[in-house]
Amino acid sequence: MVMDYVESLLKNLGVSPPDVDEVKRQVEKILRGLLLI
Amino acid sequence: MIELSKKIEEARRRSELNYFLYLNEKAAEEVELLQRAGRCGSLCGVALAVKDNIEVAGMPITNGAPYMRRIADKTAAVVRRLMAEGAVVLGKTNMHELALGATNVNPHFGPTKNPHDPTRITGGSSGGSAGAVAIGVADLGVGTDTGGSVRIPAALCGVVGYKPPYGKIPVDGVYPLAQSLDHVGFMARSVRGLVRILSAVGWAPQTLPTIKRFRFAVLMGVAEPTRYVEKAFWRAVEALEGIGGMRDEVFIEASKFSAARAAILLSEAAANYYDYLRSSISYMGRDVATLLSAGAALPAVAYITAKKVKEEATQFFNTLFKTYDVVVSPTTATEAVPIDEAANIAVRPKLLAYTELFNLTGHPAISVPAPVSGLPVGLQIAARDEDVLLAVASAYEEEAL
Repeated sequence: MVMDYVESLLKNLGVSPPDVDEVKRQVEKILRGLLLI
Repeated sequence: MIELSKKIEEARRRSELNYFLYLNEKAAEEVELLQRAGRCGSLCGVALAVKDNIEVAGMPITNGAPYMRRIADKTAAVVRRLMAEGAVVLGKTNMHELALGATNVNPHFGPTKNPHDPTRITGGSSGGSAGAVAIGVADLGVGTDTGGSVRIPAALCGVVGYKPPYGKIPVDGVYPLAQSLDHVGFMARSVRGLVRILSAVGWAPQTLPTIKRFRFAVLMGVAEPTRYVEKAFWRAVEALEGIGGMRDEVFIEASKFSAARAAILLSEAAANYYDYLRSSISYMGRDVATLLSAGAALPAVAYITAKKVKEEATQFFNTLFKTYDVVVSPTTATEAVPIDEAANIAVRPKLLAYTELFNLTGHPAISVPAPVSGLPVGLQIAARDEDVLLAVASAYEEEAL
């Protein structure tokens, strides 16, 4: 849920990754590692 | 320059290892011209394997990505400096796409193959340069290191990989990946050989300080090395004790440091390659496309927090270096993995966990081979003072190898 912003942000930026779910996992992992979520 | 012609010939003969994207067929001729003009200096004929994200005028440059291919119109400052002393560029080497990865499995140019077992990775992203040094074709590999990209392939190919302190080697003419973490570094077959070459251009001392007794800390808790790596690492530690090292063990909580390195790397890389990310993502390898997209999607709060953690990490190690002359760890937590297993998500942290710490802090670090009879394993040594670092590494090399 918290990563839902990723998909719409990338769409607005004109970026189309092959696997959006994997991008979300990477972003979430970093945010958790930095204790931001 | 028969020697150089032989090196070119050997590079061609071993082309299945896939180290070179471009070979300079005129290398021997260029050195002959310098000699005839009396302008060949103390590095006359030293053969350089230059990673393909570093510019050499008149040669193609791809940054590991065919969609970026062009002919360079100038030579990077680091290469210019070495060439001014008579070193010659033997060729441009294969690398991980955009230098954004540690396996060197390049989807466009093919993987570079480990010189000790061609079914395995060289590691990366400077894998072509490390391999070329390992098979004796190049005397010096010139690469870049943003998370371990010089030290990792050096460890897996059984050569020495040196990342000087942040900012020491000019990055002019080098494709930036993440400016806050990018270093230019070098690979050679021995510490002594490395120092001999670098001292000729003022990037290492002419004479190393004598090290009789020193204190060192083993970094614990960073990653879980394989049994094979662990065994080799502790043999290397014994060798350090054999040259007068007094050992302690220090546990560190590295996961926050690792997240900070990733946040900085991906945010800066996404900004650097933003145009390509929008225009060429369908040409990119899946791993690179995913990581750059993650960088574009990270919020500013992550980048700024990561920069604060970077300062904390630097302070942490600066404090550690008040007690210890050097700190050591395995260079990687795994030996070279099979090429067809390189995409496994568990491989990346096993390659990067130890090396990335010193991209975050900017301290100088070196990987030297551990005493093994099978696949190579690296011992990473880091210090605050680069002369002490090179002196310890050199003494270790004499004792252990």
